[in-house]
Amino acid sequence: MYTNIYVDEPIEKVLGDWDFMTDKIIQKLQGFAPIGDNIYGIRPVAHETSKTIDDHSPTIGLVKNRKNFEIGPKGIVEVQRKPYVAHVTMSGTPHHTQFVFGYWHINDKDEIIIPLPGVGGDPDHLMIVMGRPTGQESDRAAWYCEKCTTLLYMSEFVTGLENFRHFWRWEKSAVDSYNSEIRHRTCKECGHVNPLGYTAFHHNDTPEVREARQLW
Amino acid sequence: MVDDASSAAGIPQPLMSYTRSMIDPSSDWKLIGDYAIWSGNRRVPEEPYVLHELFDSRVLPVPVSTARAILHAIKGGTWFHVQHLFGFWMRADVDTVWVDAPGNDGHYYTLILGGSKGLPGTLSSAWVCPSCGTLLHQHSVEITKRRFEAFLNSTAAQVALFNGDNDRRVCPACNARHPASYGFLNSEPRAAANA
Repeated sequence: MYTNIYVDEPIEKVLGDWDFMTDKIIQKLQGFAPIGDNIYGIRPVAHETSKTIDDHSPTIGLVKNRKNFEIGPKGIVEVQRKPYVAHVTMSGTPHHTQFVFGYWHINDKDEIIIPLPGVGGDPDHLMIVMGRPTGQESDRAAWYCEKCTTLLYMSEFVTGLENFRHFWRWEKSAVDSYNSEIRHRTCKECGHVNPLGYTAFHHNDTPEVREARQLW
Repeated sequence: MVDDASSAAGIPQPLMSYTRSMIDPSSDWKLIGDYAIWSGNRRVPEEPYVLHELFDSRVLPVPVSTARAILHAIKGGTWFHVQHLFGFWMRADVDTVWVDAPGNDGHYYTLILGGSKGLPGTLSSAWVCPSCGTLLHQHSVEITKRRFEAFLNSTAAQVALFNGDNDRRVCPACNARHPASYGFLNSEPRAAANA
């Protein structure tokens, strides 16, 4: 009923990059990017299995058969990702996605993930929205023993005070630090030696790290 | 944040995560943690929802999705309206994310309101004259104590007032009469939804 007072110009002229799901913007959101009050990430589902991850691909394409986990009072639990269903991980919940990032991410902001199926041959995508940290609000990369869930090692990044563009640099240094000594991965409670960690960017992988990526 | 089901056993347990489905019949808004989220769908042959934003008394329609989903951020402070979902316009002091995902049998939608610490704090409702774009009957609600329901209740009351008095629907700038309005889907009678 507002057609008489519609804006004359095309939406691109009024709002610029108004749709984040265009190929151009998805490229910019392969990592995460803060826009307004939120941080956005979009991932194409690009790989059939973890074995088909291309060594030279610069993107964070997701593996179709990945599993997602959270840690709560009942220990490690698998959480489903269903098409068209928003899964909201509450702040403070350690969560990990198989083959995508080899640590448990713990943020101080809620994180929303929505699988969006492609239609008419378009690929599936995963959309991620999380609140923009301010002040002392932080992100953490943590590792827990896969046998007994004892906390092994944790690195913290005060995202609210640091510029978000340093996030991935911190992520890589956290993983490198965890991997640097076997004692970081050895559980003090049960003695189990846990696999190496890995970053969200698989082109950083050494052969040993790639092996770990295909494990968990 | 406590999971009610687990607290029934006597020991409160934290809510680790929750879901909001676009496949289920269109649901109400819920504010949990940092976000107020609404989700729903429009199955064929229903017309898709249309998101409108207001810029300088002009209405900008956001295109409907076709082969790929649309992910659009409505900037905090912008008046917006979703045709067929709610008959008034709303404005938040924080960004709102609009997801319009196509499916084989219709469209699937999510609205995500929030992100920055402590927000949303103030939500407003109003109407826009369809003839000249003048804003009518702006009403704001503070929801700083997590009372998102207070805003939902206020919109129901505002819609009743708007529909109950023909004079309220006449634009003071151009004398055009606004049609009867409607509240959020599932929270209000929908007789006027297709106006």
